[in-house]
Amino acid sequence: MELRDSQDTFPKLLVENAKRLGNKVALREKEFGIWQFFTWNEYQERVRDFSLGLLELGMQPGDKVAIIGDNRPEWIFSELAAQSLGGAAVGLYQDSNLNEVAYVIDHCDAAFVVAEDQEQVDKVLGMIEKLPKVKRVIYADPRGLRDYKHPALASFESVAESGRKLLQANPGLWLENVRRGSGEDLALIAYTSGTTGFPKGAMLSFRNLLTMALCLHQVDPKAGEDEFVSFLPLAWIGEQMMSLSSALSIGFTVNFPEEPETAMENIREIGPQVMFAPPRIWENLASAVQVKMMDASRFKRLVFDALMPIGYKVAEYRFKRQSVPPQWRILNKLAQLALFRALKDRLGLSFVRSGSTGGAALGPDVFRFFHGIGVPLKQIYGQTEISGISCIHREGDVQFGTVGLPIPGTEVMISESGEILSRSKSVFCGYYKNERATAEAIVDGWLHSGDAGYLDQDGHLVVIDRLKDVLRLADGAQFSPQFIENRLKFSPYIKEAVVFGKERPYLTAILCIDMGIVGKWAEKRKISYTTYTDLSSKPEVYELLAQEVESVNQSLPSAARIRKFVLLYKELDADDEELTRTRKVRRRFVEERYSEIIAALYADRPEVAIDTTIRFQDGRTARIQTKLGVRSMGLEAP
Amino acid sequence: MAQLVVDKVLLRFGGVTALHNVSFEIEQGTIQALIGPNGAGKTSMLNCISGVYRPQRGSIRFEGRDLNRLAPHRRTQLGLARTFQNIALFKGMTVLDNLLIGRHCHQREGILRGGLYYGWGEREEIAQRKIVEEIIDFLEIQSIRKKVVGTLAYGLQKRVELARALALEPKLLLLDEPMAGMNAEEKEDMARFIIDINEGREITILMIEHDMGVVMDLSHRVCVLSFGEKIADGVPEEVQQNQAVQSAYLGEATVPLKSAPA
Repeated sequence: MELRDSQDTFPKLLVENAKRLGNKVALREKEFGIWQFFTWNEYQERVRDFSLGLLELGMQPGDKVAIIGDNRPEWIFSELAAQSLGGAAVGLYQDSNLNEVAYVIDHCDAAFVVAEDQEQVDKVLGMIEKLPKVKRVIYADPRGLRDYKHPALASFESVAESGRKLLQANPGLWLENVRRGSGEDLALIAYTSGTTGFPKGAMLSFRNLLTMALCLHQVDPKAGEDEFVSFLPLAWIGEQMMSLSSALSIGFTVNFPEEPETAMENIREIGPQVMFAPPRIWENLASAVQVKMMDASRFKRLVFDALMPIGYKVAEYRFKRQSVPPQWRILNKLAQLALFRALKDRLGLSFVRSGSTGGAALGPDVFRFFHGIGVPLKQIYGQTEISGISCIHREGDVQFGTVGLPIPGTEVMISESGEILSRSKSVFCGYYKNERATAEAIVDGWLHSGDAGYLDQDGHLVVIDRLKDVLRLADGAQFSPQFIENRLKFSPYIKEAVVFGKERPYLTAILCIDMGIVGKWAEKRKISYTTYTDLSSKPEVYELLAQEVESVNQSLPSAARIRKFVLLYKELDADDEELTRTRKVRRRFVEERYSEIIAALYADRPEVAIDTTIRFQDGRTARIQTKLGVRSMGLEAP
Repeated sequence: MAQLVVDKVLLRFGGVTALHNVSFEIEQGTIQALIGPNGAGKTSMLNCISGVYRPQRGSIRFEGRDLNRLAPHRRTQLGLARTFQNIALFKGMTVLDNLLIGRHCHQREGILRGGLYYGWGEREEIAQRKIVEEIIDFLEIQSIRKKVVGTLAYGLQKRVELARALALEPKLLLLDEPMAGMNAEEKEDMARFIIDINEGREITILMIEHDMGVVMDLSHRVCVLSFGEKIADGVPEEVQQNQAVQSAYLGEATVPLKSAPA
């Protein structure tokens, strides 16, 4: 796939789209209860004004602009504005703490920081002494900032205003800058969440990003009339891939929710055709249905229980690539009318044509559920280092045990050690200021993913787990803790699961209950509880979770069954560094932090005493003293 | 001249004197706290200002105008709004509808024009909704816009009540224990909103509050009542040092001698 010169950067595509699509809606943001929109022309104007404003502030080609905030149009205006001047954007996760923010801003040498609001400005100004390279901190929302007198502060509006003045003096300046750009220019430094150590900044060029978007488009087509809702962190490559690379290449409309809390409601209002989300979101949607059904009337439950199996059965035929017998077709049609249509509407998925999940593996049960109700969900596989995507399921060929086939222009190969290697034009340009890591990641043009996997007889890629996490069971088979974790997490009662067993005689798990759902369960049974810690230590709750573990164990080979588990006294939290900002478990860290608990899981102790302090979001700490029960599943040694 | 002048207000319920010759002033654009032990007469004072009670003696003047003879809804039109200690929202209605009701005093349409809707009524409706939406944005309650008030958590209901008071576009806002029953995080949010309302919207605030940390942080002046009498009035630092205030809070105060006979 070759890029044309007039379309080889994001800003050039913006200019082309403004010419081609002009007054068609490019972006929407819900504000004051109404969906406000920007046409492609207005989109271009905003980017141009802000871009020229940055130029007035002394921005040079090659400068980095760090951006932190929720998904709002200003986020992508800032990104494109920086790129128009030959600079690169660096996204930060909006829930990062002070130290994480300071690390990335300093490491990427950002000259400008665009912060959404007071909360984010506070983080940046809080560390400003340690950030000597930052020239300006630009805020989009002035709310609460009227008494801030820091000389580096400037408002988004004022920068855009000075840009407009420059535009009058020199109308062609911005376009000249845009034309100077080329596909090889650095577009973005995406800091990978890093399940170990400090985050690394993956440098991605326009060519990387745009080739990926166009190749993906060939096998998962989108249309200019499509709607997409941008509600996941724009610092994440997955969201960049949709809201920037794909939206600019194809010209569909990107919608920004009113507030993060209203995202699901807003999705329903928009009814997107294209939806891309990590497994967590799909899992939440599926478990929300389960919870609602717990509360529903007897009649509704009856209908649900009677019709869901029809959907499952039909999905089963499709998974096996068999044609659906006519009687099942008819039944499915009826179930669509009676149940699935309403269900999809409630979830906001009525129109989803291209629905995909990526970032981690999605449990097979969730796949079955969505295909059952008629949402054609596909698994995507990729890394930040390959601009997001290397493999995806094909239409009519969804094998949920696999991540599908490589997208056009991408080669996938398995190394001798079982590692997944890939090669394409989208493979990144290296880690920023970290040549050693770059040399480890790219060898002879092949990107080393660090994931273990294999290709099945149809050429579909199967991902097992992180190479270093893969377990070898007593019978010698490779087994993935992540696979078991995903099975466990499909239980609505289990929020997070970490399975251990590497170099150990048997498998054990630390489970975190889902406070909302287990709480509801407890209320129904008149079990009183106070806090998360209290609820998770109730014998009844242990009994409930033991049943859930038991049912997962049934589906696993005997050597891979969970023999013992504990219910953790707190939820795993990114603020405690137990999860990455994309909410992946940092296994090493968890293993270290809870080494005492793990030791108890492998000793014959019925409980383990805990004495620890936890930190709340506002910095307060609390001491937790409790006894954690170790529950044995009563399995014999293999 | 001060925006609100309370002059020698006396309020009796039968033999009980709730307020005895209480006088204080509130300057435009300030935050004033009204504190005191339980039963000191704080809420009675607020009720006198908002028009729920009519004092037997004394006067309350708002921007030079005597309020004593005005009904509560007339005072609202002059620019007074309040929240209640025990939330007084329409629990069966949505947040949005509660706020739109707050706009009622500013609506000009009658039954006929409102009923016909198209044309004049529609424009009016849009204008009111716009103002309400700005307040929703201001208090960050977008996610509960269409929720029924009765289903919301207590802290959120308090915020909705504040939103409704703001919908009246007051010049002086009376807050009766805005932070009561809130957790630390909700209190912090509420404190931020109160400052924003005062500084950003330039609304004068009179609030009753028990959380001394909040009172000392937020208010420009503090007025202390005890057993219906004013025992101190001044900037927070002064009031904190005041002997009478300390003894009132430590429970050493006896019933003032000059209290009216039963």
